[in-house]
Amino acid sequence: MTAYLLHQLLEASAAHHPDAPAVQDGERILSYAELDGRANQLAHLLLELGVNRGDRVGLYLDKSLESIVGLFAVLKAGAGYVPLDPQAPVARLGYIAGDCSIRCLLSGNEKAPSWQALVDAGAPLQAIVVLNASDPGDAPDGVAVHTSSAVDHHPRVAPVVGGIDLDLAYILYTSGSTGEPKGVVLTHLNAMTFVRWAHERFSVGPDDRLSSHAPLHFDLSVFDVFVAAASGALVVLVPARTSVFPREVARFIEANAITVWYSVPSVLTMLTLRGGLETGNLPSLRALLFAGEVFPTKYLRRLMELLPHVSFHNLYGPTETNVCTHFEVPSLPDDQVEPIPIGAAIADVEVFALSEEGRIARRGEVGELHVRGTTVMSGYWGDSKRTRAALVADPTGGGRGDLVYRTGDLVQEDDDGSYRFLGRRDAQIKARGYRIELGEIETALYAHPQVLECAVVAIPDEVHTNKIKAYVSGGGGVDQAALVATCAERLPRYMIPEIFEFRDVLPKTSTGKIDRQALAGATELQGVAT
Amino acid sequence: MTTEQRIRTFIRDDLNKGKDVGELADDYPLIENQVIDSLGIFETVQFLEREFGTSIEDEDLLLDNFGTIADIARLVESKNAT
Repeated sequence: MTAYLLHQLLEASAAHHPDAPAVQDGERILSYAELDGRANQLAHLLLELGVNRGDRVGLYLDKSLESIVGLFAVLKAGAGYVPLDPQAPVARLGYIAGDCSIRCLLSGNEKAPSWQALVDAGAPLQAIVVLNASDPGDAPDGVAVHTSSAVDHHPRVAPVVGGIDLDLAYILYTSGSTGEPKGVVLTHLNAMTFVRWAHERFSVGPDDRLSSHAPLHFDLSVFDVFVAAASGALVVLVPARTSVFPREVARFIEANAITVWYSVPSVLTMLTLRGGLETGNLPSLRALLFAGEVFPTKYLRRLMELLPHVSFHNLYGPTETNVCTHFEVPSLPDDQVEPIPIGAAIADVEVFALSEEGRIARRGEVGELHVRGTTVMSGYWGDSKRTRAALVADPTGGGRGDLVYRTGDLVQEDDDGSYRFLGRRDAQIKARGYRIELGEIETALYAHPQVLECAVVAIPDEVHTNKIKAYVSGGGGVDQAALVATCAERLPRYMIPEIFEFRDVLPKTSTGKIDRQALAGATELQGVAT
Repeated sequence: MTTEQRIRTFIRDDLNKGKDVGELADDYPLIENQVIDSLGIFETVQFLEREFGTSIEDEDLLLDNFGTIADIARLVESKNAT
């Protein structure tokens, strides 16, 4: 039978290659049979704890063998997993857990000190399963804590749970413009369409060794985890500390004989500039995939010169669409400075640009990219208003009534059918591959009682795409340290402004709104002057 | 101030201004706890070059040299001794 649910990919590989290594975390390795067996045991425990089909189960632990077991167990129990950024402030995670009603949490003992705060911040938890310890630690009020020893006595065969590919598989929370993160709801089918394409397009097989660089709350992880499972390949977890040091990244790829690497471009830019690479290095690597932001052309060209035996691929797609377009990078002329295209639609996906007047944009004309196909999300969790704004009736469908996703990205189609990304329609930016709504940062700043007005702007940065700058007017006593502390309670680290400027008043437009363009312009001028 | 104290002051007051990073003992794991991240590492290098006149090469950028304040102090002192 052809797999139509994500965990069936694992079950098929466990049947075909039971002894092949499935996932590696430092010195520890699980074979396909072990990964599948452990995930089955945990799935039985989840069912015993009352997890029902369609429920949301949180994953709140560092990326590890246990988190991969946990993710598959949730799917096998018929539920959807919600990866919580282990480094995010608990206030934000409490909001997320409340928003999608996470009653059961898979966690690790490294996060035990945060459980009570998570409950206090609104997480409606009833049960926590600690996947990496036999000591339950301090249980939050009213929450039952189970340990890994509660998993061991369950059967290693899969529980019988119904499911179809339109069922929830996972929810990924992204920055929301109104100040709260929003949950992108993705089904098994949404992921499977992408996984099937990627498995074939990159010819991933049992001899491949994939990197897992992105955290599980970042959708790049869907490739690492599920394409590996679909192929019987090994996925090697990249320790977070490795990415801080470009030479350690190079050493990691070399030591683990990684064949396919996938990450945001900023990691690869640092690898190019500081990785100590010489031509002929990383001989095992055959494909390098990147997504999440624009790869500066001059660094991409340099990396391609250093790794002439590797193919380079730009994958594009908002979380709402998994991946929707792909571009394999040909050799880049020495004088090319413009960014490479985002490419053309992947299999079973259609993309088109709509002009401001709502018609299909002609080649060379700027339009907003729309995506149609089974990779497109079913909506935002519990937010029909935002869902209706993002999923619109297909304007080209002649009344067929199917929905397409409005990306908010402005693009232009080249003569060869490839699309180029030009910018955003709104105040969303990218920094280090993360997508950030500037409005969410402003909402966090306003939480400081002394802030009267603020505006957050993006300052283009060659390596990290953007740096975040906040303009603030406020009463006495408000300083940068206080504002950073206010933000740190509410926002993940990558959203905290790096530069602050204090002004008595902020400039206004004729309609009385804060003039963000004037502020952004002032920033650019300063950049030229210095 | 000792080398360790100067490094600690930089990490706490400049690199992590406003964020609660705790006591920052000499053996506290800086990278594991994301006190220094992929952006912070290069700011730290600039600080060391400015503050101590140490020349930090790309090949010095390793976990062994930046794992803790004690590691960084050892790197600075060994580079400056040669």
